[in-house]
Order: sequence, then structure tokens, then C-alpha cells
Amino acid sequence: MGHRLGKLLTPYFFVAPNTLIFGIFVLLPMVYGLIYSFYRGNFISGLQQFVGLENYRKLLHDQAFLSSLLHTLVYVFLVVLLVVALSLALALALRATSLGTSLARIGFYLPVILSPVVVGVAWRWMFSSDLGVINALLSSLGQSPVPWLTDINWARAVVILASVWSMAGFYMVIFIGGLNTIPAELYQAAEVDGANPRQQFWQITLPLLAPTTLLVTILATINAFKAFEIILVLTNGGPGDATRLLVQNIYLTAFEGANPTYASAQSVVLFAILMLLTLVQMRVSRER
Amino acid sequence: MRKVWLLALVLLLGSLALAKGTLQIVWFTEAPTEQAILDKYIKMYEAANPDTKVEVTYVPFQQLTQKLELMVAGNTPPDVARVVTANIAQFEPVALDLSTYVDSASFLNQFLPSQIPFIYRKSRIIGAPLDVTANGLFYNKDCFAEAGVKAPTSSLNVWTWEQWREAMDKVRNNSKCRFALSYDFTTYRFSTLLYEAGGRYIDESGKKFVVDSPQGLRALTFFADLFKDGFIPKGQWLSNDDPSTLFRSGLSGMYMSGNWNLSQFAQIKNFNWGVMPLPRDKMRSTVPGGKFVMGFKNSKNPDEAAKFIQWITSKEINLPFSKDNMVLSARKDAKGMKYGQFDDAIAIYESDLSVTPAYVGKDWANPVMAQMNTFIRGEIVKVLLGQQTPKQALETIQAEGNKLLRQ
Repeated sequence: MGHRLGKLLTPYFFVAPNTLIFGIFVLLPMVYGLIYSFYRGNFISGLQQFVGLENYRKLLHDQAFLSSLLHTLVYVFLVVLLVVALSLALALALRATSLGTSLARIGFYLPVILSPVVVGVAWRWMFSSDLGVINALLSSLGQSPVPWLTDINWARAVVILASVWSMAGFYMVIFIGGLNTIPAELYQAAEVDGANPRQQFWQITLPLLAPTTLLVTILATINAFKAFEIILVLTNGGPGDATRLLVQNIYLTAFEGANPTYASAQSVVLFAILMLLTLVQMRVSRER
Repeated sequence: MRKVWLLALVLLLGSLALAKGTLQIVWFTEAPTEQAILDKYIKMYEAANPDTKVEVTYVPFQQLTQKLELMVAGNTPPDVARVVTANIAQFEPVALDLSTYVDSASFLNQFLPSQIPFIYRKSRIIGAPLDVTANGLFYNKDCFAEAGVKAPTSSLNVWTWEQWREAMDKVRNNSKCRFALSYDFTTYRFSTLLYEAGGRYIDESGKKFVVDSPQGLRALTFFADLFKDGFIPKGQWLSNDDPSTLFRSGLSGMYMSGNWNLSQFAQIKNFNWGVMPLPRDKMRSTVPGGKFVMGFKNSKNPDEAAKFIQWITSKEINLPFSKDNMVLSARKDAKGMKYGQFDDAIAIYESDLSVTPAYVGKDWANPVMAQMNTFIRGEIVKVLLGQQTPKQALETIQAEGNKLLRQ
């Protein structure tokens, strides 16, 4: 009897540490966040009044929230698209093993191990409109400087490029792993049948890489939604609020606006979006 | 066995350390020199109070509000914190009331009248002023000399805004300073222009916003034109570029900031710099503010906190402390105090403060201004981006301000 019970409980003992950590540091704050979102309150007086869905209703008319949500959706779409394309291209170019490709892989992976703050500072140093290296170069060539970080559209482009640069190396490694699982015989057979490299890519590489592509898309989407530090250092959400994404808006609402319960409602919305995207992606992957 | 003894010894020492009262202080710093100076004074305090151990957590100014908000929300506030004008209004509900520890009249009477509205709330004393701050204009003497521009040196020859613009133009075109003016990205610093133009945020009753006025419009239009005409680098207000760095690197002719930079700028070796009286429009004005120390009513050692606050704001400590930090003491008896190499600069700040109307301080003592700070800055940025006119910005600021005042 005791032996049976022990056998029954053993797996739970194994998952207990992880469950405990997940419960305390992820689940509990999430539950608290959800509860807070139904209240009015601040850091000093605590929760003051239950307001039901009032915070959520307010979100529908909050220009700062809506524009940060729109910026986030556009940012995520472009970053994910570019990250998938670039990391796949890098993986294809560097899949062969040689000293040169190994060095190049290290080079492209390097941004991944850098702190996002360092990435932000480095890009700022290059693209600062007044003191940046690139504008100094342009001036020395007789060209007029470009308002990289003070013009709304340029600033958005720089933020997206910096994010793609910092993420692509990581996904390149995943794609290389995926490429290595494709049997070489398929390519040999295709060559015998007279398929050119482009046909091989579309007919063999891309279809067989689909699970990897899906994984990369899911991970890149979630990471892009959480983008914060690079943008904070690079533009601080500016010019104006042109590069302010949802996570930064939540942070500003909570701390500068001293309105943590309203910020909680925004976090719940972000959580719902991420949850929905993940469910859709999982469904797609199951159907495949 | 030896391990057991060692453990017992550690536990014994630990419990002895705990037996001592530990005063927890959160201290924000703006200049690298500040930490060493406070450490010196903390040692003095510990020597005078052997039963107290002081633990200081230093935070950069940008993180101060967030740090305090989280500590208060977690019900673990520090015993003492160094704060600015906006914070003391924000944390008023949880402030330690010093009036239960001191004779209110004589305690308040030590400080300059301009600082009293910030700390005295209907019989409660919610903090004590450490020093007085004033917005001010620094300039690069080398670039001025190279461009043949003579800076005003006293209240008698203060520039008008037009003269100021002319000087910016000359410095930018005729010296190695590529940029005419660096300007801190704060509502406080912009507000200097509002008051100089004769405007204000809140009326005398304290119940109505009046910033949407011809004076407000003149100030905001003048400010926006400084960006449009390339006198202030756009990155400072649009993309997080640090104005102080630009001035310290010798690339900016002038820098609109404040007196708290003196100790940091004392380290500048690559060029000569000075302080000039603020330019005038309809009138002369600066924006007075201050640094304060405050306690929190739910802290672990409120009695010790009150004792420390009295100590650091006392004449014997505060005057040398202010001199070491090169800041203007908020004590009345500091009048005429000599600061050595920066006496001229400090005389200029004092002159700017002396002509500033009383309602300027009253504006900023209103808790609504602490809530409006970021909002106002955001609306100004929209003007700089061409997303709205100065008039529209002032209307929006006024409407939002009135909404908060009504709440």
C-alpha cells in the first residue's frame, strides 16, 4: 500500500520545486495582477475601491494605450517577419562547417549574448542624430545628416533594425539545427532529377523546415511583444510616443503615472493577446 | 567541532549587530561626488550615536520615485529618504509627521520661507529642507570668447530673450561649440520661460489652471522656435540625448539646468565655464525647488528617523554639508555663507531666486503639479514634433490640470 502511494506521489515530488517556483514567481503575481485590474488604487494608499471593469472600459478610449498597442502590433509583425527571413538566410549561408562559417556564426550570435542595454547604447552611439557616428560619417562625405532618432519614421526603422540585429543570431542557430535534420539524400535525389537550388529550397528545405519555422515564429513573437530595454535606452519610446510599445506604456502608467491598478489592466490585455497568439500557433502546429 | 564554534560565533556577532538600531536611508544621487560626502557625514552620525548603525541605499535620481513607490507599496518603507519637491507632495499621506518630535514653530523658523509650503501641511510637518535649488544657465566661456560674445555678469545687464537668441546664433556660427543651447528634458526647466514671460500654471486661489494665456503662448512658441531654428539639438527632447553630456563635452555653448550641477562641473578640465543670470522677458524669474529629507510613518525606526532628520538639517551639520556639496542651504542662517571658488555662481542663483515671484513656488507646492509633470512634457513634445500647435498644447494642459484640481 505504502509502496503504491509512494509510487503515485514520486512524480509530484519531482515537479514540486518547479511548480513552487512557477507558482510563487509567475502564477501568484498573475493572479494578483488580475485582481488589481478590477480596483482603483495606488502605491501609497493601496487598493481603494472595487471598480469592476471600469479600468478595461477606460482602456478603450485611452489614446496612449491604443497607440502603444498599435505600435506594438506593427513592431511585432515587422520584427518577426525580418527575424525569420534574416535568420533563415544566415542559416542557409552558414550551414556548412568550416572555419570561416564558424567565425561568421560567432559574429552573428554575438549580439544575442550582449545585454539589451549594451545593444541600445551601441545603436544610440551610431544613430544619435546630433552626435552619432553615422551622421558624422555622412557629414564628412558632404551629405546632410539624417534625423535617425528624432524623426518618427526613421526612429521606428532604427528600433526595428536594432531589435532584429539583436535577435537574428539566436534563431539562426535554431534554423541551422533544423537544416541539419533534413536528410542529404533528398537533395541528392533532387539534383539527379535536375532540380535547381531555388527549386530545392522551395520544394525541400522550406517544407521540411516548417516545424522549426513555426517554433522560431512563436519564440520571436513572444520576445518581440516583450521588447523593452533596447527601446528604452535607444529612444525612450520617442520621439514623442512614436516607439513606445505596450510594455513601456504599462511601466510608465504604473510608475510615472503612479497608477498600478490601471497598468495591471493593460498587462492583462497583453497577457490575453500573447495567450491567444500562442493558442493559435499551437493549433496550427497540431494540424500540421 | 571547530565548525560548530565558528557558526556560534557568527550567530553571536550577527545578533549583536541586530541589537544595534539600524537606520535605513534611501539617498538619490545626481553627481558622483555626492556619495563620498554623505558617507563622511554618516560616519559622523554613527560616531555621535554609537547605538545606531546607518545603512544607506544609493539610487540614481531617475529610479528614486519607483524605488520609494515599491517600498511603500510593500509596506517596507525606508526610515529616511532624500527626495525632491515632486516626491514630497506625492508621499505626503505616508510621511512621518515631525511635529510630534519638535517644537513646530521653532523648527520651521530655521528654514527659508520659500521652502515651508513644501513641508508644512495643516499642522503636520512632512519633511525638512536640505537645500534650495534654482534653475540656471551655464555657459562655455571659451566658445563665448571665440565668438566674441560677452555674457551678462550681474542682474544689471541681464539679456532679453531676443539678445539671448542673438548670442546663440553667434556662438553656434563662430565657435567650436556646434550647438548653441542644451536644455534639460523636464517641465521644470521649460517652466522658467513661462514665468519669465509673466505666465503661471495655477491661479492665486489654487483651484484653477491659467496656463492657457498669451504669456503661456509666448513662452511655448519661443521654446518651440529654439528647436525649429536648430539652437537646441532636437535629440534632447525627442530621443533621450543627455543635455549634460553635450555641455560637458564642450560642444554646447550654453546649458539650461540648475545649481546642483556645480560640484559635478567642478571636474570639467577641457574648457572654462561660468554661470550667467537667467535671461528676462516680461520679468526675471527662475523656478525654485528643493531637496528634502523625509521619514515614513510605517518605517521600523520612526524615532531614530526624526532624530537623523533634525541632525542633518541642523546648523552645525547642514551648513558644512551644503558647502561640501556646493548647494544652497535651505537654512536662514546660511545667508552670506562663502563657497570658495563658486561664490560668483552662487551669488547669481541667489539673485535669480530673489526676483522670482512667490507664486512660482506656490505653483510647484501644489500636489497636482507632481501629477502633471510628465503630461505637460508630453504635450510640449507634440508641439516640437509638429503634431499640434502651442495653443492646442496649452488648452490640453489647462483642461487636464483643471480636471485633476477638481478631483
